[in-house]
Amino acid sequence: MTMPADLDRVITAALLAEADSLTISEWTPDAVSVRDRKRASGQSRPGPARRRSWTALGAAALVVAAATTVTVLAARAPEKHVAVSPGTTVTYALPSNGWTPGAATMDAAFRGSFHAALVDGHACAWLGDTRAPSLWPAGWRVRFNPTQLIEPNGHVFASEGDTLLASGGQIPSGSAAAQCGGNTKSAASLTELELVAEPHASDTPAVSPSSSSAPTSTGGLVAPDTTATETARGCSPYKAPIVTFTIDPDGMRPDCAIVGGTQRLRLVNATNAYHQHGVTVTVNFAGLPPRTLKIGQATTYDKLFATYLAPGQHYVQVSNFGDSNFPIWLK
Amino acid sequence: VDEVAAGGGSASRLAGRDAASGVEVLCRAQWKPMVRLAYLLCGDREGAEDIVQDAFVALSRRWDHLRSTDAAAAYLRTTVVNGTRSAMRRRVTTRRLLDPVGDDRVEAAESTAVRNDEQRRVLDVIRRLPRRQREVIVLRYWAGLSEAEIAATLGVSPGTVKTAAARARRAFQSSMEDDDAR
Repeated sequence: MTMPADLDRVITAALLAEADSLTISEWTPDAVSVRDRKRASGQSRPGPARRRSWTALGAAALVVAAATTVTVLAARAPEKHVAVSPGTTVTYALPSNGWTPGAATMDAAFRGSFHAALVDGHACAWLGDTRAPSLWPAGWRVRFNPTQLIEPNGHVFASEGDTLLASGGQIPSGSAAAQCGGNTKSAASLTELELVAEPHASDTPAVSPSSSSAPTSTGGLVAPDTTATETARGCSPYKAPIVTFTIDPDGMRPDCAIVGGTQRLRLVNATNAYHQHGVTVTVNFAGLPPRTLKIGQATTYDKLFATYLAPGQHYVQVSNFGDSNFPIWLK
Repeated sequence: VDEVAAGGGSASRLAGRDAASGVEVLCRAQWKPMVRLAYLLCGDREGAEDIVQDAFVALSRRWDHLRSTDAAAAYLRTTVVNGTRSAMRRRVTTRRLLDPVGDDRVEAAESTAVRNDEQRRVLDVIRRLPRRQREVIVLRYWAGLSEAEIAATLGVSPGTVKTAAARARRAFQSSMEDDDAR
């Protein structure tokens, strides 16, 4: 194909043709309000068809992963999007493999806790307990105090100690070894990254849960919502010890979860994501004293779910979302 | 493109409206352009409608917190772009597990509509571009945004936009030279 004389025109024409070929359902103004009311009432969540589809895909993925003994990269892994205030902290570029989303990736899977250090003025970051040269996707950086991994778009992706899953493979170390102060010949080339919720040492509850008392209890446990139907049953189960909910400008991510008794709850205030100002939020859960989270602050509930919740559906309420309830189903 | 360009105009008509009526006005002007934008970015028609519905829901809930009604259209656009990123991130992960050697693109039926060979090749290149380059190309050539507007939408510097655009153009050139060599 010869290079068109006017590439701009060709690109524009191609995109216009592609966009115009799309048949789009007519907009119904009530759709937003109905969708929002359902979400707010906790009776249903938006996009049921899509969510069912993802649930099915997730189940199939588990089968594939089990058969191949590959670590499952959860399809709905929790996302952190805490905006980094520009100019407040120095960030350091990580040695990179140049990988960008959509590009080819090797098939190996890495899993480990995120760590980073400055070595002779260069940033070195790795997964696992042992410092090992690693190459990161294009544009990823770290900052220190606190140690955080930062996405190319400037959002904090993970903090020191968070568990990450990554695809990739081993390659000659090159600059990664030099930057990490080692002399090993190979480095882990990390491509697509997923965050797994894990304990976070710097989490400081705004209010101690030990001072709490549950208003409605069953044998000392907070009773579930007995009127709940199937709301949370269709949500994704979480296997990490800590179930992290990120509060962003649009709601909670995930907006529901199925949990086990040996897990704990963590909440992150990322209301300043997506270029928003952010707000301080107050969270109510299980009759425990409300917790106030400033922008960027996280809190982890000390107790395991089974020690204070009866099995069934419970709700996280967040002050800036009015009456919205985000269900947690304790198996 | 005209519909997108009209976003500023519709936003300016929103002043003084409450969330319900304001969102409705914006919906009427922006629903289809935003679905098309999401579709061009993610290639999935149904997914695109979901993403844009979520964006309008988010907008309705954020209405009182927006610094100005003029910011509504920009907020909507950024939310749609972010929504497509999240959707694609999940889709790539799931697809790799389900079909590690399969085609990494599921083309919607609509995209088989009549278009000439040159356009189809251009679209193939766009679909294979890294995410940011694809976003820059779609926002530049389809939405008609300036570098500064693209930078604001993506939350990056104008320099980053310029670099991404230049790399994308090189990708077009390289791809077309490869075709010539065959």
